[in-house]
Amino acid sequence: MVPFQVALKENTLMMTKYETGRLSAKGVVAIPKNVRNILGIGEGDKLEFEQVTLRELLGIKEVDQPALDQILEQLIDEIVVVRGVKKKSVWDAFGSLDIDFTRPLVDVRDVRDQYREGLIADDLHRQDD
Amino acid sequence: MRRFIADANIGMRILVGDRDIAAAETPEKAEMLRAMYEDTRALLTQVSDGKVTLYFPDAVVEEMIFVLSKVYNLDREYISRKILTLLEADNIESTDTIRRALSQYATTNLDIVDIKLGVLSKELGSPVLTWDKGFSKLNFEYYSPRDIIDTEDPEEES
Repeated sequence: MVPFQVALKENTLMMTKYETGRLSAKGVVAIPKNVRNILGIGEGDKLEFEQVTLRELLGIKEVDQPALDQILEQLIDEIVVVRGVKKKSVWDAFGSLDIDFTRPLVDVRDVRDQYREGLIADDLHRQDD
Repeated sequence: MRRFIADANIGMRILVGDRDIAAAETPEKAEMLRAMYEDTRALLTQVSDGKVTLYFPDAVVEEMIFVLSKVYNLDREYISRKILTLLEADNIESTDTIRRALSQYATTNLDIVDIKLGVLSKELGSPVLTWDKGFSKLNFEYYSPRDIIDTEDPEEES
């Protein structure tokens, strides 16, 4: 993974390249400190890799020019977005749901039929749109 | 480390903790809820100590989304954030597909199952086959059965 830091200098697009050491046979690589800082990660955190098209990266849905549209779609093999994922504990989730309960939590088994009916109703509603 | 498949009630109890005990209709019910809460706390101690791993299958996550959305009328962004906090915790496992779908759930009005189809379509590199026109709201390739009957390879047509 070779991330780039992009910056504008005198109206020219500049990129700073950070190279890692060599990949081991097990796929292990040391991430440079600069990159760890950019991603905001430390020991125990994870990296999330996502392969995206240029269209998705830029948030563009449709382009009038077919040639540009093709370029946006074709670059999928070139772009992998890396995100730092901070280590989370299950205690962060425990009791985190902020609801004013007027009755105890429902038993999911009791609402399964409603779940199936809800799925069908949503589907029918969407087909009407 | 022992690995267990968790159901939706386990997932919901983790998120709710002891917040519903005060709403119990009877002392007996309150006692039962408190016991479930204490058991969940003890379970999570084992999870955070690395002795137990909990796996949440996609169907279970979908059921939790339904309960939070339809029973408790919580908004999509909140549901997505709360469940993802659980699924991204150490020693909690789920599929990449459902976590990606949950991220997108916060920003669309589509059903989680449809969003998951879109995510799967990208992961597998295969278009979705459907009669549902609602898929036009998602940025992935889909066809109706008529499209593939009329042409040999719909990808060459597009």
